[in-house]
Amino acid sequence: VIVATYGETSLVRGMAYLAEVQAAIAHNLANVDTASFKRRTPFAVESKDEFHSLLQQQLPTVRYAERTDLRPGVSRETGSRFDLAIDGPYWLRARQADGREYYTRKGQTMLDAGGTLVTHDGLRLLDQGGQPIVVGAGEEAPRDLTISPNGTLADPATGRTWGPLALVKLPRPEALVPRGNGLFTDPTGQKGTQAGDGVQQGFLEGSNVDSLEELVQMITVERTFTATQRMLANLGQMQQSLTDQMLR
Amino acid sequence: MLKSLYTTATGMRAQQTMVDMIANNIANVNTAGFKKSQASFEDLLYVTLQSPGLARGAGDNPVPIGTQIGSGTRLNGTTKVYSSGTLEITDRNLDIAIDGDGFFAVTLPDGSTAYTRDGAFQLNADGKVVSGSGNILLPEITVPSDLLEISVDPEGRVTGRTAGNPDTSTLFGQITIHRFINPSGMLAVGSNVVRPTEASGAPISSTPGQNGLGTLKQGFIERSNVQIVNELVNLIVAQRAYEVNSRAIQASDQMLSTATNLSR
Repeated sequence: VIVATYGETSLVRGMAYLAEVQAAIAHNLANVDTASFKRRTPFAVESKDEFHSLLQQQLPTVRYAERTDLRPGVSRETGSRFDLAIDGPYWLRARQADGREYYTRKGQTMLDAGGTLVTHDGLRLLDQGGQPIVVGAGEEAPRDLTISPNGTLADPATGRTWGPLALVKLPRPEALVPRGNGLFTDPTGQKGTQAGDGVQQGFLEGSNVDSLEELVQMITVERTFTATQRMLANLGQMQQSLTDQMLR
Repeated sequence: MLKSLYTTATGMRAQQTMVDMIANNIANVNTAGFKKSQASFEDLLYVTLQSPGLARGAGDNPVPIGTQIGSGTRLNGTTKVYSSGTLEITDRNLDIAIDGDGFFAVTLPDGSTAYTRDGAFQLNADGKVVSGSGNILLPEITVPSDLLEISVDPEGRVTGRTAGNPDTSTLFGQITIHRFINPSGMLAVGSNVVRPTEASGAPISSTPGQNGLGTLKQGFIERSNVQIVNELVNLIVAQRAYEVNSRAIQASDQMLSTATNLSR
């Protein structure tokens, strides 16, 4: 009976795990069109259950975990001079108004009223020295803005240059934590190095979600879920007949 | 499971907005001076179940990666794309296109100033130059009623001959155009006009051809910059994305129903 109970617990854990996987797939599919979105890869981690007092040991169980799939998405041309795609495993640095800093690959930028280069959400993009890039407003505003592959901003009419943009290569990018909105933080505080070339002006990186891959995974999850439920039902019947025989 | 249902619903809603926006672009394919919109999405907040770098229990090794579960997508904003539309010859002498950067300023009925790239001007009953919807061009240019011929040069000088003085040309006024550091930050209010906002910055005004502004072309009209082929491709992408999201709802529903069957 203990074994049967343990089996049931384990199967229920399995179903809970599959429900989480389904949630991750739903999140990926919802973001199939989100610029520079990095898909979440769900995976199972072998884990130990709580200490079992009758069996006097910890039993193995499954735990849900997720990691960020850092493969690049397909870049597409937008023609806007304020759209940047990043070619290579590099990150832009963005600073929020409250001083918090993020890494991002979402290169949808614009100039704010003060002529500072910001993302669409108003975060300031930083240069290599960690300072915001101010190109000037009003009469000072550049007529055109070109951004070279190394991240240097230039006004071809006057020859003025700004930047270059911070383009950081992190030793362990998988340690980055998603914060939504294409922003990532680095709780481990890695020291990144400046990459050489990697900025493509007029392009935008697409989402790296492959809907076919997600759909296939979704079918697998659905079938496994049904199978697990059947086994659970069978276990219940086993216990039922066991109790029936004992009572006879 | 319920989480995945809500997550997928955000995806379907986002794609719905995308289709609405594409529909608006396609509907305006023949609107003079129309600038297409582009939608951008963002991933929603993550729920952190397990922070990276923390141990799960006493004596355990810290886990190298955490677990954050996202909750879908949402529309981050629509931006107007200010690439130039094609200039089309109309030979109407009050059709004026801006070749390059810049907007015309007009006065709206409520007295406020708005900006437009639609240069299909007319004359109103008072002889003032007005836009197609009757908004007066700024600075105001009035032409006499006995006008024979009007011409606009690339630098914006409006000259013409009148019946009273048919041999020499008279200067009627000077068109000023305006540009913004971030035109995408302007607020579209319909009728082909946009208003400046804090994000767009203040207008930089000058005569055409100066300070990085474009020049004027009389007898031309700027067509919409909507490209039907691109819009249709976007439409297909949005529709397919909508489909896969609806498929995910079905799968989550199926799983929920399986789980419900546990209690016989």
